Amino acid sequence: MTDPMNDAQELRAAVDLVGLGRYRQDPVTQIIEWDTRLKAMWGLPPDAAVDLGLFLAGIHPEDRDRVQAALGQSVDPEGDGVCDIEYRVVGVNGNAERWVATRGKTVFDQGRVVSFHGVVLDISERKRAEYANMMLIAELEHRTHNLLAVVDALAEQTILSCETLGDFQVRFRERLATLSRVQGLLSRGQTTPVTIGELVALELRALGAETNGTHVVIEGPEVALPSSSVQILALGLHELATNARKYGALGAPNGSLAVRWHVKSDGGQSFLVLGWAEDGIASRRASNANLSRVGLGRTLIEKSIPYQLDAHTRLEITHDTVRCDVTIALDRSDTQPSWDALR
Amino acid sequence: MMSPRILIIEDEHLIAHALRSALRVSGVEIAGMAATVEQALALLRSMPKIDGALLDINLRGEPAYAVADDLIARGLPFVFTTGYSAQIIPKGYQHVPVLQKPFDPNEILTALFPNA
Repeated sequence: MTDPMNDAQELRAAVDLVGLGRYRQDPVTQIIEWDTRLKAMWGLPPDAAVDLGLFLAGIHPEDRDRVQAALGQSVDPEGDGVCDIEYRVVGVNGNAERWVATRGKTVFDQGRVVSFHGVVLDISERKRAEYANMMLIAELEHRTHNLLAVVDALAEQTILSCETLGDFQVRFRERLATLSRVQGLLSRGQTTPVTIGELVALELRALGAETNGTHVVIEGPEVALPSSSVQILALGLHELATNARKYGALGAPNGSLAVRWHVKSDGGQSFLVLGWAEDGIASRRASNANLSRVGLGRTLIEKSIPYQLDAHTRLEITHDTVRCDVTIALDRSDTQPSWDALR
Repeated sequence: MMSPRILIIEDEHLIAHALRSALRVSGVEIAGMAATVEQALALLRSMPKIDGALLDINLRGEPAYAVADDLIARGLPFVFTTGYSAQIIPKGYQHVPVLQKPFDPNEILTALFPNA
């Protein structure tokens, strides 16, 4: 009994729904025939005559050898006659690029080809998704390895400025916590950029310094930061804040801290101008001969930020005050090279 | 080689800074540090004597192959450093050693001067 689902009309509908292109070799004339959909994939009009040369000409040059080898194998009477391969098609004019999957079957009778036919499916969508996934993984890998290298460098720097292991533990952990907060902010993605106000508040809050309007003032407009600047700025702010807690305004009875910023335009470029000002810290300074020590904070502010951003910085510490001024170009291109551009 | 002069081309300052300290301990002289392709090319033009370089393949969002080509043209040995896996390096540079971050600074000299 024949299955009504297998009649020609039903099968044709199924082929159309899936979008299969078909080819076959006429068993009598030996001529290769393609259906209209397959011709369209190769950029050929419906009435075009096809041959092996045209077929190969429409395949991406880098994939041609691979396809030819698979085809050759499928018409080898010693083999199983199956052709199953994915490759790129640029079309006979070379101006398109799509991924296709070909499944074909050659049937032999006593070593002679008696039928050769197959189907071709456009799998560009799937390949695009796979590619996007691969890029994401490569970028994640890049970010992770870079971050580990930064952690490694931070550990080195922290060791240099610590006298005891206990001291190292506390300071290194605080710096790691800053990096961790930054990763949290950056993982929000490009659509919601990190703002300077958010970063300042986050680093101060992490040390328990709430803005109470008198001792601690944070003031400035919402300014989105280039994502490449967030990590190094957070580390710099952390060092300023932690020093303010240990030696400066965040622990002094009469101390005050003001972090203010604005945007200025100069020659068509905009800059973020940020000032960190601590006053009234003389009482704490007296017990601390820490004025000139070159700690990580000073390195980050005076060296790292200008080195890796288009920025100018200034750090000045007196017996009663701390002043840090940072000017950062905001227009800098903020695109990481895609994994693709590097290959 | 008595005291090789090396250029560090790396856009992350903390990493460049740490590499510089580690290399100095190994007796290397640091000829300079560059954070961008432009800075690196300018340093190469102005430096009279450099024996090798460390080159991050991604500098502030720009691929660093222009610097690689310049180093090759000058016949200077260099090492790619990257957070990406080594497979990302284009075929034309497959003879260049790659150090994936984070790496042991002691590996640098062996990679740069394998016959030293």
